[in-house]
Amino acid sequence: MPDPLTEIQKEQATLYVLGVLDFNELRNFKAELKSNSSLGKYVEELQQTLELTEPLKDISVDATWLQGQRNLLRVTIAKLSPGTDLIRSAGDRLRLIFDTLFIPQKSSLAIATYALLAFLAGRFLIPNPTTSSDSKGVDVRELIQSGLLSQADIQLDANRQHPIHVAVDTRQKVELSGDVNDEQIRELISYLLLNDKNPGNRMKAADLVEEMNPDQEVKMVLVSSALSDPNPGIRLRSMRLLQSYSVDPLLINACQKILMEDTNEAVRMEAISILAKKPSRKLLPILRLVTATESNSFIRNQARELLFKLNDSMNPLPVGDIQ
Amino acid sequence: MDELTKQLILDTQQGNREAFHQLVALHDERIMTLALQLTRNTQDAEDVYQDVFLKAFRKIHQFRFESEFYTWLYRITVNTAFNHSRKQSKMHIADPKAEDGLDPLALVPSHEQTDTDSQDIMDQVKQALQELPKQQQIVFILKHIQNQKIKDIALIMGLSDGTVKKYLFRAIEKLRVQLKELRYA
Repeated sequence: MPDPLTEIQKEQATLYVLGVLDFNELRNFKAELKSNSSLGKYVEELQQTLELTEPLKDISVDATWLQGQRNLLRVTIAKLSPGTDLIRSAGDRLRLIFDTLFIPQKSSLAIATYALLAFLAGRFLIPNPTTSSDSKGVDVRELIQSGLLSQADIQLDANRQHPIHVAVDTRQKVELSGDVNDEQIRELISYLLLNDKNPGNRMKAADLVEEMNPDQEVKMVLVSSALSDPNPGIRLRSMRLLQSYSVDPLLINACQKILMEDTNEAVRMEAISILAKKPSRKLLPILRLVTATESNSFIRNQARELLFKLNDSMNPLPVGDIQ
Repeated sequence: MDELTKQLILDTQQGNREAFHQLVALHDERIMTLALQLTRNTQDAEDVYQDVFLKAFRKIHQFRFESEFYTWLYRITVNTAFNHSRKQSKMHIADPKAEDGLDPLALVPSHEQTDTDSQDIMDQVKQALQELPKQQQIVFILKHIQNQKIKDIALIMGLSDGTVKKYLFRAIEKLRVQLKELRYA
């Protein structure tokens, strides 16, 4: 039997099942579909065909494997001529931090996040300063930049008694000991909290961060952990530690992002409780959104209370909203 | 383009390598997924991943913010995977299944792996996809698997919207014919 459909009809049918017809094309196609049974059958076959290929979408990329690839790339790029690297001196470092914090056109969240990146770049790339730890012969930055840490079995002994011991098993065993506020130990702990593949190590690192002097650098590490750690327990731990820090634009922006995007209710609760410490009318849009969309009643009520405090004159509650 | 990506690109263009590594961390999962889908082989995907980001690092000073950054990366990825597969086919035109490395589709949930029929169906689907001309295969993956917009696929592939649609039609039509028996299985 000859094929009753034209090539154009078939092509339109393909674009229809893929959902890429424009409004007029779609209207015309649907009209034709109603009156042409062959076309209907063809569309059904196409849909069945696409359904057969659905499992192809299920590829997931293993995080550890990906981290290994990042490390390999880091090593490859490190071998290239340093050429145009900006981060060479303390002056450059300060300029970088200044630029990232005070360039006005950036969105506040970008500033907050990028300030952290500048910090990390500074911490991990700038020539090694004098250290007070007992880590004789160990260059922490070199270890970090080598990418070996992500593949190493790292054990942290965080017994709250000084000195802190950090043992890293790479091809050669590396041990560091010293006070938690020694510069190298701080760097390593920060690195582990943000990068170690083992969530147990990251949690131990978070415990150690609590022991550190609560300065801006530590705060930025915690913010980054709260924003990016895949493990909700660690994000929650970081957020709880952040409760004791001053509420500045960096923290406010991070909390807004977490409030809107974090999948864990407890983490979002911490975020709104931090925001509640420093209510600002700048928060009105996000608070209205939270009252309308948040699934957790505690968080919704917190948002409503904040809106009330801020004398929100607009009606914050869309029809059918929370009880 | 989000502000963070934009700022990281600007800083990389000024020579800040750490900014580049942060860019990689922001975008590489999508690139690795695409590389796996295009190469169907973890070793090849790793090679493509490394090549893509090395090229991106070397050429980022040419990025002019005229497209989304990921579109630019996708374009590099597609070209790199395409060239990679051409090299591979010159080296051995044998059954691609015989290549070293894991089949990324082995990552499909395990209950499907234990189901012999399902596995058999998947093998046939993969084989049918593999038999498509490379351009059609890539367009199909970008649209149906990666859910990209037609105009973005056109940008990535350096084709017109109309050509992308033609390739899509041909690809799906071939798959419809190839997989006819499976539809009723």
